Amino acid sequence: MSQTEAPAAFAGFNERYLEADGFHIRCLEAGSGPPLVVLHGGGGLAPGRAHALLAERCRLIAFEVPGFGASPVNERSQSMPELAHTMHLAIAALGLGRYALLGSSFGGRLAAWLALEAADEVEALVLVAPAAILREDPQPAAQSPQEIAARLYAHPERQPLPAVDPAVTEKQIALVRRVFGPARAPDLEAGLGALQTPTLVLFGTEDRVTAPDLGRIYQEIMPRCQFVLVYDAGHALAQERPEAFARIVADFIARKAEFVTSAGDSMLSP
Amino acid sequence: MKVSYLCSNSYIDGRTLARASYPYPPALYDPEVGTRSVEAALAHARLADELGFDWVSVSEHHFAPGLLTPNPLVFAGALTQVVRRAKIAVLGPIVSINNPVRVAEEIALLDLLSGGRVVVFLLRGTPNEFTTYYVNPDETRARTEEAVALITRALTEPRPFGWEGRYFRFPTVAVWPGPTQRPHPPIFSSGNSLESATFAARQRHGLAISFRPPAGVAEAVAHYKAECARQGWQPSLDQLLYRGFIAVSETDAEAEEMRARFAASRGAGARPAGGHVAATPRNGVFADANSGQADGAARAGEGFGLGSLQFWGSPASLVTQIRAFHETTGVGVLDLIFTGGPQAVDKALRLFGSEVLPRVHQIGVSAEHERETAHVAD
Repeated sequence: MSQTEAPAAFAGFNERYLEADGFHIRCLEAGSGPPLVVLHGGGGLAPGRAHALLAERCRLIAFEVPGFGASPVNERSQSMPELAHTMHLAIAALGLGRYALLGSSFGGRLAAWLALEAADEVEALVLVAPAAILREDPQPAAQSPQEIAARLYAHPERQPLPAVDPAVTEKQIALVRRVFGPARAPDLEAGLGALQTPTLVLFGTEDRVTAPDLGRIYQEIMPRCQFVLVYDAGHALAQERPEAFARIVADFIARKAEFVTSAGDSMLSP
Repeated sequence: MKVSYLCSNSYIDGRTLARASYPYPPALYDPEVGTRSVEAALAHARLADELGFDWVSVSEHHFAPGLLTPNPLVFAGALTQVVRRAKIAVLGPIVSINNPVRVAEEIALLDLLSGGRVVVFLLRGTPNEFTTYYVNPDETRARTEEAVALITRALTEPRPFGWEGRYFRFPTVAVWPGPTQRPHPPIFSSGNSLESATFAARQRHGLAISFRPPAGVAEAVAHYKAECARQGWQPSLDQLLYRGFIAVSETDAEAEEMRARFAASRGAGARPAGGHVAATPRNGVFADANSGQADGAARAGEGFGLGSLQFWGSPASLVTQIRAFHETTGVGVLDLIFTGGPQAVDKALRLFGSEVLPRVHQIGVSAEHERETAHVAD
């Protein structure tokens, strides 16, 4: 296991590689305190301000799923449970004990599968605009940076255009398509229906990839699920409302279902 | 066209308005006068309902005797017990200064109490209202837009949900009772500026405009309809609402005298006698906040219409005026403020109800029928 200063794109994070399940897996780490494992969406590992804010409250460990980013093509993983098992082994290599798990979009689906496999280890689950339950198969992948931005953001004009490397995109899309499974996966949903892990499901009110109304399905089938809408944010809600995202995630991880009770101080002056 | 009676619940001792200014000292309030005021208001509401008015409306104003409806939804609850047929139009809760979840709960409860007759105008408010609960005026447009989104979600979301907004945070929302009308009661937004009219169109809300001259109303309506078309829908006549003052009399000559008295009472230095818009903060220039700062300031010179009647005359003249107004603007619902004391309002309501209302109901009917027929043919 090696640990180095991360590339400029990941400023503020330490980069390291783990050997797990036959894969050489990159992870970025920042902060200290209770561990929070983060699984990225279909676009790949891209920690930003939201993650930096979270790292002020916890030890944040963001993995790069094998087959994404600069990692070699992953032609071995054939299903989401397989990929989740790989990530479970990678997390085990860190020796975290119990930890909070967060996944966004595709990473939300992966985190949901992982939470079923590692139910005894995951003390809180956060699903961000998750693609674990869909009404229909995922839309065809957007190609141009403009198309991607229009799909990801409520306000694309306020965000930098996503950097797109066609070769990386093609590699990632091939992996996602192979492992994803059906829009509604009965075995996944049956597992979520029995999962006792406190879960927070976040959707942006302007999400054009995973409709925010999907949140109510998680709330309905999962016994300990809180469904929260992040106002005026699209699918990439952590990028569009980073302060709101970090605040609610940190509060939920710290207090679980108790987060519905205000712990703020409303006294103006004594 | 349809007609709404604004039940202002004005404090009937008019001298009180002249004795102070905003905020009016509560010491001036006499409970006995308050009781007589609300009895008169509810009697007028009942009468308007019996005369065939389509809506009875209320609005939200604070810290002044002009309209004793600081919480219009509470007053509307009383209206549900005397207005048995007409819609109850809450025009509306000022959502920039209130708790949106509470507003959603009150709307849903009112919809239940009224048997599904509620109409709401989710309003930003005027500058004086922002002082009521100490809300920064610069934040009120964004607060209004977020509140509208939250109220709509709270009225329609079938599962418990949380809200992480810019101005509002509610980790748990689950409104009971739910609305009687599904998915929710008809909602209006302001059309007093082009920007707000765009918002209304995008939300698929009706458009509500107050006091502006017909040309300005026509401009706002045209902009709104164009934006609706861009959004792929077409508003009905019932979704184009205009509020104005009216004086009704047997003859045009009498009505002209009423108009002159009204204008004099609201001229330079006079406080708004009807109190429709409570006096502004002393350091403020009146501008309709729904229009946005720049637009509101620009229109201050143009005349917002608060100092004059929009409609006045004999029944025959009023029908002519209202028809012309409809043809110029396309407005389908008039929310009318009847001027004068309780006896004058009683008389005006009866005269309007018997001689004007039936004819106003015929205005726009054929156009609406054609629109609906065309829609079915689509």
